[in-house]
Amino acid sequence: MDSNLTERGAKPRTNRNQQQRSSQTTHRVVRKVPPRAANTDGSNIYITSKTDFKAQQKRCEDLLNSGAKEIYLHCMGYSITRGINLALRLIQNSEGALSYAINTSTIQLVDELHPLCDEDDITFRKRNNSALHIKIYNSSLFDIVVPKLPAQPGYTTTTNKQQQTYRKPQQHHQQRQQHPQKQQQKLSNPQQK
Amino acid sequence: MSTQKLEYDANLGGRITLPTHVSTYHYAAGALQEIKSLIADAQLPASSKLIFQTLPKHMRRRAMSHHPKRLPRKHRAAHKSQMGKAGNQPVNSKRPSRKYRRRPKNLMREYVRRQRKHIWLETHIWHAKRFFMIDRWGYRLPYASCDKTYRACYRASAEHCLLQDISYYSCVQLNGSLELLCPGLARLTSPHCGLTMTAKAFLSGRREGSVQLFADGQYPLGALQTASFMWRPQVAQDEPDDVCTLWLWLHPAAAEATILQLINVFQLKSTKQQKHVLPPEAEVANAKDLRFWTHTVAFERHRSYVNVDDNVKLLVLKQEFNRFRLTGPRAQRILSASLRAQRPHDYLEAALQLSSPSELLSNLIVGVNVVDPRLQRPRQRTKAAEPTDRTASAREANELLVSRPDSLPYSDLWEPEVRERLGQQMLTTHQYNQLRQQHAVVPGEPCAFEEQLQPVPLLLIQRPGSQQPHYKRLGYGSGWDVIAPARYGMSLWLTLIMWGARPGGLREFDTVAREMGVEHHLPDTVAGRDQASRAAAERRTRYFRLPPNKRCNYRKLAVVSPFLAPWQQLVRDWSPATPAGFYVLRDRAVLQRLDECVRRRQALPEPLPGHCLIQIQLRLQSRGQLGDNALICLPTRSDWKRRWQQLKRDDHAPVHSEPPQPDLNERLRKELRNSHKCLLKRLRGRRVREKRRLQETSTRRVKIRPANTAQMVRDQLTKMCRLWLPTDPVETCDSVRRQCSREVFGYVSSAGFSFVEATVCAVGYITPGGLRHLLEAGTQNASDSKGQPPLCLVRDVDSRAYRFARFQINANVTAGV
Repeated sequence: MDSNLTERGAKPRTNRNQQQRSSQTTHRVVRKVPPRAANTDGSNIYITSKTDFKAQQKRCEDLLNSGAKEIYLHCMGYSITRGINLALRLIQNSEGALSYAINTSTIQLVDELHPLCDEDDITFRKRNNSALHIKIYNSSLFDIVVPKLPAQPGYTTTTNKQQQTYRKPQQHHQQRQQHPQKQQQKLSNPQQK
Repeated sequence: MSTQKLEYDANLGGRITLPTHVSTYHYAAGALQEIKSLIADAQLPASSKLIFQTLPKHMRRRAMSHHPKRLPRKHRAAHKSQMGKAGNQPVNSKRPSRKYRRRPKNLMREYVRRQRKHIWLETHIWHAKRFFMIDRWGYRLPYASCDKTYRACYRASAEHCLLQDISYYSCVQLNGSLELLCPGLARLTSPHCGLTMTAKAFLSGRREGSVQLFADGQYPLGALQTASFMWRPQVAQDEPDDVCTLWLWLHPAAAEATILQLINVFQLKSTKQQKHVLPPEAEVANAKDLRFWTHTVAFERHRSYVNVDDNVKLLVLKQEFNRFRLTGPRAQRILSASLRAQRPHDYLEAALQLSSPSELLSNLIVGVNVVDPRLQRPRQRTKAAEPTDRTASAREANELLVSRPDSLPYSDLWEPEVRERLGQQMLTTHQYNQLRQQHAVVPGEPCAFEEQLQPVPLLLIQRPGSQQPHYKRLGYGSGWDVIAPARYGMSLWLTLIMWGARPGGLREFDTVAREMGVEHHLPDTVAGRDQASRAAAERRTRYFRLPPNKRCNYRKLAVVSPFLAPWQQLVRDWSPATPAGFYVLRDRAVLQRLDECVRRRQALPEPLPGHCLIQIQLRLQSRGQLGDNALICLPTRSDWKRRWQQLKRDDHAPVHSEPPQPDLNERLRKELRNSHKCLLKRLRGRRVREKRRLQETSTRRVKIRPANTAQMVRDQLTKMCRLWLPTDPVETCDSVRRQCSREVFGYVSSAGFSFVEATVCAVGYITPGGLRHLLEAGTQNASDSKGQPPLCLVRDVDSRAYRFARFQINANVTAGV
């Protein structure tokens, strides 16, 4: 029921259908537990494959324009391609103001297998799913962090700390940036279609 | 008694002998005649006097006919009715003063009087102040809030917590050994529809199940309702008790029919008339042939039935429990804030720390004893706070899902004595407040006596929510059901409300079901038929309340049954043989095969029974609105062509619009109306002339005669209504299938805008014959892409526009409770 056909075509092939068919004789999957959101504050965005792409893009842009220094896009499984597309689109539109860093992880999921006949009980199936965490941050040189007026004694030290923690990953990512750029070229092809 | 006594008559030589005994039935027959004649005399008194004229002289008073208070009290009602018949209005008794009416005693009496007709829930008065109340299924139930909360309730169900009172579900308890219950329950259910009641997944009592009930041996016809059930968990695991207890939660619309079926299947008898067998020594002592006597229970709180061998018992626990439904992810926060377990309950505390109820085992039952919910209220209405440590990692959550302690579903709520005691020993709110007045030194602080309040056993039941991730949001509609003992409803309800739950009514059930893409009451169940006919009557009265120029002319729109979906006639037109009834296809294997065929655009493999209906979930493609009873039609080749042209031009106009049909009745209606008006005018003229003629000879002023045309006007209205509406589809063959320019093969039963999908979604039913036609046509032109669900045409009853909608077959029909 999804309208975005190009992305549906980009879905990686799996052998899950075959697995299901073999287990279908006695059990079938009725219930999948929705993935948990670790953080629900504003700067973490969980990408779904159902939400409109433009709406997601606008949401991210609004967040960045409203002064957020960095946002995190989390995507899992099928929505990974969409998350990458979104991140690349954001960076492309920003004309060099944004850059990104990517982490991968594996998420453990548990499905309930409900029986088809009366004699069996519920069983569980553990499976792993790959997830991608994309951090998008402001990398422009002109974006200078202005320390706020020292209202309280000891406040300046905290701002220093924040600056340090903020700059650290930046340098770190600049070292790594050559690798993701290759990815970017690869992935931008299906998007142009 | 063989000696015959000689009577007086016999001594004289007569032949009449009086019998020594009279048989009771002869005596009773004679007495019956006497009573009959007495009643007849009392009902139709021969005297034509007024009541006050029949009184003896010493009881008569001045101006008695005018003032009924001067009559003895027992004659007043009759006197009033006599006076009313004569046209004299008797003196109206004044409404007692508000002060009198609001006295606690009088108020309570009034409440009891008003509950005689419709049962009230425990939260009734709270709801009646805030909600529109309607009479449904013998109860007086909240329909929707008086505030505008339609969207707020949706948001609550999706992001926060929606709270509904479903205490009107009646609980039926079945006792008996499993060997006895199993075959009986199997006769009422079918293994084709999914797991039955005695499945291993439910027998341990860990989970609540839901099952489709049918009339005895009539599957697939005769569907009663979808009922949820739970088995009582066995106390000792190693030695299973041979008496099992089952709770069935029945919807009140079909509860009586279901109980009747249960009684028939298990051959139960009511215990209201009990045979008391005397103990054997008493029999010896009395040495009489008095073996037993029956005695009728004057008042039994719950109806109960037993079978002959006394090993299967059925108990109708009506109004014994309160059941509250919490929907939405924040139900977790609200429950953890408002329920404090009496003893530390690790599993529940950890479970309520999760971010959504759908992360737990589906339909999990948790029994817990909590401290009195009145002690857990915030000072003012606040949102329940987020948990302080959100450290529950994914692994811990999975642990909670996979492994649970065995003692989880045990609860004292299963014990009837405990329930009785809880109700009796509960501290009423008034007593509680008085105690607080005495003991609380600082207002709002906890008191010492509050620790002695009795704990309340509760049952929490998880609901998994929507399970179709490709169609609806995964886990939408998940939440908890809370079962509380009687009398604790209001205190628990207020606590939940104070922690920020949003109250909803019956309207919200429909909303949540529509957002989940399911239907609660299928059209072949008792509740479904009841609901459909009620909705049809409502729509019809609304239609005829409108002025004629605001009514849709359904004859012109070529809609044959605008208020009610004619399932029976639809099935008749699509099946080769004339079927006796129709039913909704619930066989899971068949539905899955159908679903596969539809997704792969293959022709249907097997011959399906012609008189079944297949439930589908529809969603509109671009624009348009759908209401209930919309038509589902087969597209023709020109429609597909038109669709391609529209797709190219990005045109969202309807793909086809129904050519207006001529309305042959229009002239008839006009003539009928004119003639009726003429007739009324003529009659009035006649009355006026009559009055004038009388006035000429009379000295006093003559009034015009009353019209007395009410019956005539009523007949005219029914005649007019018949001319307005299309002919009934029962009368002519093929009237439903070929009612308009596209073939109709299904009807929408519930539709509306879905906030989850941001488009119009609907649930409908189609015939297998129509589906076969659609798929064959689809394989010929192969115009729509294969990955997508297939398309069909839909048309609202009030419009001429046909639009394309995508549909998919719902393989799990019974999941929607």
